[in-house]
Amino acid sequence: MAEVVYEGVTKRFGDVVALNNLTLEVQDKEFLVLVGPSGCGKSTALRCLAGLEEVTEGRILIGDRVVNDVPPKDRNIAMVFQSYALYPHMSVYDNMAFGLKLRRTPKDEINRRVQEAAKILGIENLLDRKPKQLSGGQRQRVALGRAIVREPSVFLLDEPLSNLDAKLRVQTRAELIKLHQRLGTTFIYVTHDQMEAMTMADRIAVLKDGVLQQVDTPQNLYDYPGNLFVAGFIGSPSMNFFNATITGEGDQLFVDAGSFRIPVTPSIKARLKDGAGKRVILGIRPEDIYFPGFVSPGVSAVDVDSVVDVTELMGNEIFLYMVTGNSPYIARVDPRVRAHVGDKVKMAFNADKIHLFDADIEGQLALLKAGA
Amino acid sequence: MRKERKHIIIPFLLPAGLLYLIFFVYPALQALVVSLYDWSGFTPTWTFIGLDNFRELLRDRVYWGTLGFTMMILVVGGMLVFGIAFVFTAILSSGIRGKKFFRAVLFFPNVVATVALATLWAFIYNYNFGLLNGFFKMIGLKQLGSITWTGPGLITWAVLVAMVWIYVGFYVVLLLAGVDKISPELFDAAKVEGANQLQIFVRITIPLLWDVLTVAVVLWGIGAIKQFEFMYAFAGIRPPRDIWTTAVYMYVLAFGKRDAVFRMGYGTAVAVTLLILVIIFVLIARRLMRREAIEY
Repeated sequence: MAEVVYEGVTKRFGDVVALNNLTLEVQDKEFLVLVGPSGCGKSTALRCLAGLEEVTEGRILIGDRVVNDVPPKDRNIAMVFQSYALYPHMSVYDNMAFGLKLRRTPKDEINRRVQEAAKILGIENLLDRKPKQLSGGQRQRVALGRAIVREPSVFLLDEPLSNLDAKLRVQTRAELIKLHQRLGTTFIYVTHDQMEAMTMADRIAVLKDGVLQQVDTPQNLYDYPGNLFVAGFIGSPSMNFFNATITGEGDQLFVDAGSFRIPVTPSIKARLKDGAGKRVILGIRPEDIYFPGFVSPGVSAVDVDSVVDVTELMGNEIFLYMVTGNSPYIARVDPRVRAHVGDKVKMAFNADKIHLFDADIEGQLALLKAGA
Repeated sequence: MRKERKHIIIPFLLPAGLLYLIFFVYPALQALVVSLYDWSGFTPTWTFIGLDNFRELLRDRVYWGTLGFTMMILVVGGMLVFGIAFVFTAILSSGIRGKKFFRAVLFFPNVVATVALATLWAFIYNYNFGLLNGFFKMIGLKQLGSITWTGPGLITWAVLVAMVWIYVGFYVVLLLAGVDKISPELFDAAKVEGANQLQIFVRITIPLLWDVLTVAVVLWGIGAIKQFEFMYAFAGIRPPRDIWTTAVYMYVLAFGKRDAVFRMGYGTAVAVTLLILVIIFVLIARRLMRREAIEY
């Protein structure tokens, strides 16, 4: 029941900068997900918060307390590890009771908390077993139970679903969300899987090379990515990118990608931060590209001459791998589409749904303001 | 053995198996036989005396004295070695720098021949020019520098200290290897749950070390019971009775060139008692330390 603040946190391991001036505020009771590719610093950020790593620069606050020099056990946090880290020589009950026993909690209180947590997680019948007798999913619940009994102010979860098979992962995702709602505690969750982030988070913080790229709600990150990296990271299959230039013909601006050009619609123009002659990277999501005849009504469609390269039937939709000029891209189309390799198709690009990024300046920031 | 492989496996095993049988198993079994005879070891005739050797052992003061010293090495030495080894293991596994260096330094005595180490310690303890007395005299503690460390009362302790010094490193290396097997995340989890270093060591590290510890205890037991070289090389021409281990007594009885005893049968009986001792120790140790195998 506390908010967490990272204030200019930098963490160096020798010459390697794992976290670079991270400033981030986590709201009380929020489910915040730290996401990013391997090595981006998300686990480091979590471990610094837990007190397992010492911060090189900056401050970390839990509640209103600066915890830089506070040992892990006094920070009132609980952590769930990727490999669960259950003590193999103790029973499930003892695993869950360990932290409480260390604090000399009275026996009946320990029992009460363990039984309650076991009930929430549905593992009451497993209390006498040893970890080696449990399946992956059961072990994970024990790890969660161990965290729950501590009644911490912040839950830290370090890729807890990574070791589960796909089906169990989906099931456990939903359970974690429900658990968060039930406990009403701040959850800080680390993952490399953007889909996990999108489905579970109240807000997502995207990290790359130790630098915070953007932090916002899943929908905002999806609709208004702040830079090229975030645009390409969030969403699967990822956004398509084309090198282009902004050209003008009288009052009308175009985004010229060589083999095709897209007029800048009024709604896009209203958000545009810069003028013509700029080299840009044009982005458009696969679901904003339509097969002719399957264009949603009211869409400002622009035809792009393309050739079909590969088709992937997903059942509820089809992924078309297309090429225009020399540029490959992916489109998500209606499952009724009949396309064959080599077909020449005029794909319809939704001109209201384009994204523009600065091609020249490092960081490749979005050129369109968020909103409306 | 699968049928097809038999004709390959047996010829490969045969030479080593034969050597083992001829040079280890046969003499061992022979020893059991010899212990029932009165024999000098080199005369062509011997007399069967049944269990008389063993009955004599029961009354043999020297034997019980040596057994006492052997037990002292086993128990007191063992407690010291493992106590100190645990401390070193805890320190070296806590993440300090130079772990590999210190580990190598601690292990070093195990690389040197026991005879050389015994000679070294004999020099250290020497009354006139030894390192220990010299050191005390140098820092002004003349009283401490005038002690006969190898005198009747102190020599057993002097030898014990030297032995602990020699063997601690081996057990540190063994225990450290066991600690290295423990997943670091377990320590992280314990830290987050509120365990301090000592609690982590006692409640996490040691239980997870149990299998390695069992091996270590058995190794120590066997080594302690058969201790010979150090005592024999430590005190020069004739080691004083005070530091005779049972193994030394056995040697003196059966082969002793310095003491013309020449009682092979009786000496072999001592050897048989050592065998029994080792068996008892291993059985007890394994029983006491038995526990379900830890699986991850």
